[in-house]
Amino acid sequence: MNALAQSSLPSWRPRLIFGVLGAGFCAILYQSWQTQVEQSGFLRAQGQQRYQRQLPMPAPARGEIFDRYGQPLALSVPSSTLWVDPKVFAQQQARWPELAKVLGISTAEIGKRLQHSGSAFAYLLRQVDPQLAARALALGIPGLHELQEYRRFYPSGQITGPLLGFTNIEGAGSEGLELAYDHVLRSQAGQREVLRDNHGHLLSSAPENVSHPGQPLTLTIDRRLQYAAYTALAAAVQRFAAHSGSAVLLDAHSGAILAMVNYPASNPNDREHYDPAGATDRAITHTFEPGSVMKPFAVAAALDSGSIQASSRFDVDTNCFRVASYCIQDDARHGTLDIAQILKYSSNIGAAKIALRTPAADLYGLLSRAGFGQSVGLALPGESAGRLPAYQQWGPAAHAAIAYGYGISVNTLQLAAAYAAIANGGVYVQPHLLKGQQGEERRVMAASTAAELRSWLAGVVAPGGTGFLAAIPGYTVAGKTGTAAMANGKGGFHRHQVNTSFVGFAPAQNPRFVMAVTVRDPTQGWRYGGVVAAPIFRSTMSVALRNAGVPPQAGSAQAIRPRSIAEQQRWAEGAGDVQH
Amino acid sequence: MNPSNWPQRLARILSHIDPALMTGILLLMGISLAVLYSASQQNLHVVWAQLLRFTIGICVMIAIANTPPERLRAWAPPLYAVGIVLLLLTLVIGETSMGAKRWLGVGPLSFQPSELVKLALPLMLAYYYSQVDDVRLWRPTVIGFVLIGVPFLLIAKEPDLGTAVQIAAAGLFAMWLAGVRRRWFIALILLAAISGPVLWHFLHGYQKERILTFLDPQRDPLGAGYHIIQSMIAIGSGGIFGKGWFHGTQVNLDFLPEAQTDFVFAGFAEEFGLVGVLLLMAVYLLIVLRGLVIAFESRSRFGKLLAGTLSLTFFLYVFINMGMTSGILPVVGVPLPLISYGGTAMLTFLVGLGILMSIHSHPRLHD
Repeated sequence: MNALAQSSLPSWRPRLIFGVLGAGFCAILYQSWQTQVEQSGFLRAQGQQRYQRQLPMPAPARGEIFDRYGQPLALSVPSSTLWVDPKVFAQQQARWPELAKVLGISTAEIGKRLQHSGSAFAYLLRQVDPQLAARALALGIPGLHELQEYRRFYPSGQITGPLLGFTNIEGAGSEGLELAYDHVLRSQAGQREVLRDNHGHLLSSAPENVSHPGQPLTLTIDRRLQYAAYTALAAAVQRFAAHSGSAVLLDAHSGAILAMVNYPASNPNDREHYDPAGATDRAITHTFEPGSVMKPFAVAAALDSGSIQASSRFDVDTNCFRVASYCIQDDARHGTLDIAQILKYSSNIGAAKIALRTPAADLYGLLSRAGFGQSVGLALPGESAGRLPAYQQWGPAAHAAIAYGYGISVNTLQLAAAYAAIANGGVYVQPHLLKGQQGEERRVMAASTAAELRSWLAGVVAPGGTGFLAAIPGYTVAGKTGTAAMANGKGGFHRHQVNTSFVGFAPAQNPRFVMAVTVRDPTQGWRYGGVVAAPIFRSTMSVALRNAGVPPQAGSAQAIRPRSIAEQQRWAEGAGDVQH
Repeated sequence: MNPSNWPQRLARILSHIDPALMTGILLLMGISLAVLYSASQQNLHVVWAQLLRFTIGICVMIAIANTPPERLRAWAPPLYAVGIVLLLLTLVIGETSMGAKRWLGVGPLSFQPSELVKLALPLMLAYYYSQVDDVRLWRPTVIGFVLIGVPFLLIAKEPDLGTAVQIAAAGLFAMWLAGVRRRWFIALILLAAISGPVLWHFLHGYQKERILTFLDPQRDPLGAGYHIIQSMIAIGSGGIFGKGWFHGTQVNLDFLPEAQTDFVFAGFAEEFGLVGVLLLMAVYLLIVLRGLVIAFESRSRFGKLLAGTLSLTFFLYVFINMGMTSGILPVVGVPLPLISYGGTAMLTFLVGLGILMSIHSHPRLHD
């Protein structure tokens, strides 16, 4: 072989290897394209799952709730939550017993908390006394951390319970006002994004979402009146062994809700013995057939439509006034009554006759303007609209019955709001709960009609009227009693179960406050609205008048001395209510 | 010696440096220092140590570049013999680390004899085939296979199958370039394919594991598949332009294992993205192509063989490391040439590049 042949090696051979390796390079490039472009998002997310941890920041306090005078109704008090980083904490098993001892739980309990946890965060003990948390942290156990939280506290307990609702352990509103205004009250906790290295160490914190404290709410509620109404209602429900009750106190002109109470009510501070049955705000959720408290509206519709005159008289001298196949009856037989007397003695026959003279459309229109059949619009959870059937569907019986409060269903707040229209010169003002809000207004009836009704309703509370137990010494009170058989849900009525109510305002000719009281199914004593509900009105309203500094007017005051033995007895039954 | 003469002497020494290769080396050095600085959580100590190694390595490289190929050729048989002896010694008295005897301790130092063999074997084969008259005969072929087979088996016994295969590949490159008949290679490939299933049973548990993991990383995501999954996440997170220097979370938060050594490419890809990967590949291609040009331009058979083998082997190492890191090859413990942290492998690569420079800057050799 010559030198030339020796030194000239085949040149395709290195090229082949280079080509093969070059193809390999292209494969790597293709793979890089795949991972870095095509799957980059997925892989990046996978990476984030591994290194990114969201740590909850100590949430700022939830907004407080105040009454109209700045008295606290709901507060957030600092509490501590102990949490652990399970990866680190699990290695400290030897120290669990001493921790368990400090916290007053068992070691097994600690283990249980860890079992159901994720890999980076587990609650150990929530919402404990900050001092207890400090003692636990002082042990210096790695992986044990504290988170500053707040616990919701309601100074008025069950008195404001159903109205305010409550928050869950995460601090989010889950009932009542707390739920409805959660977007205002809620604080933005903010999260701290931390980087976690492969050994579980938390490194520098990335930018965090800023936290926002919750905004406070100031209600129209007057805490003292809320208290007065609640105690009166609670006493009555207990005394008459009733199923439940609710009451609403309104400012007569602004529509501000000064008190809204329910009984039974659960104490939201006591979560362990929390009874959900006491959580509902019955005053706005529970609807019922109102009975006689509807009569003034039938009268108003008749007057406004010109169907009757203020001086009209009606012959009710019958045991049974037949309308279609129904027999309308009164408790006692009267002769001929004027409108004032129909209201005062609560004559069903009289009310039916008035209604039947009034075109259905007019009656329906007035009831509708007075707010029946539609939600008041507080936007609270579970708020009911009640039922007002369209007048086109009324037969003569329904037309007559609606005048004395059957075939229609309402809630307590609706009753109060509708009576406020009578008190407010015939103008309905939409009730509201937040101070500074302004409800919609609309005329329900002529001012003159409202004025007539005010004096007739004062007569109801006068001696001999069904509402005389609502009378307050030194003031003239106007109002109407209602005692309605409870519908049995099968188209008929319970024989012995009644819904008793009283709705009224004071002072009668220059009203300041309107109050509606409903007590459902009293089972003891005289089961009439004038007996069961009126005293609740009386004791609450007298507090409201006194607090507001409304001067008593001795001259125009109703005589409150009962005339007969029976009245005396009723008075004694109802008047034994709590002192304020 | 004339003291006034030293600038000229220095210039003559430096004239053996190949500008293209040196550019590539300096670029890689820059990338290496930058990546290690980030991957070590900005530990300057690591950077200084690596820079010191580079400096020493480049000095050795320049010394080799100044050594005439004839002398390198003359060193081939003794170097090969020393390499084999050291491999034997390693098996007998080597330091056991992670179940394998790969390191040989000499006083305070320890090194892997296999690194020496990486150079000694191509040298030996180039030496041998440059003086064989007709490589197409069976005898030079068998001798070639024996020269490769001895170190291969010794290293595979350590066990270090990855390195053994790479060294064998380098040797086969040399034989292939020397012109050994194709049928031998075809036979070898067929043999490998047929005996594969048989050899499977002789593999160590961890070796089987690596191959199974390569086929499906998700089969053991926290164990054997962990490396490759973390590596893929790192590369993928980089996207096109990368997360930026120091912003590679997989690396800096210690999720990526061996981030400074075998998996340094993943950290680089995370921080510098596809663009960085392309740039890095371009630098490697520059070095490999320059090495192949040197091989083509060499007038000696020894020079051609050696330069070709070394260039392609360099390419192979780059390919294997990038391939395993990006998930297209099974995981084998191979550093990324001139980027990974560590001295021995870097020295080997720089000596190899020094040999290329020597071949190119001593053009007069004829054999």
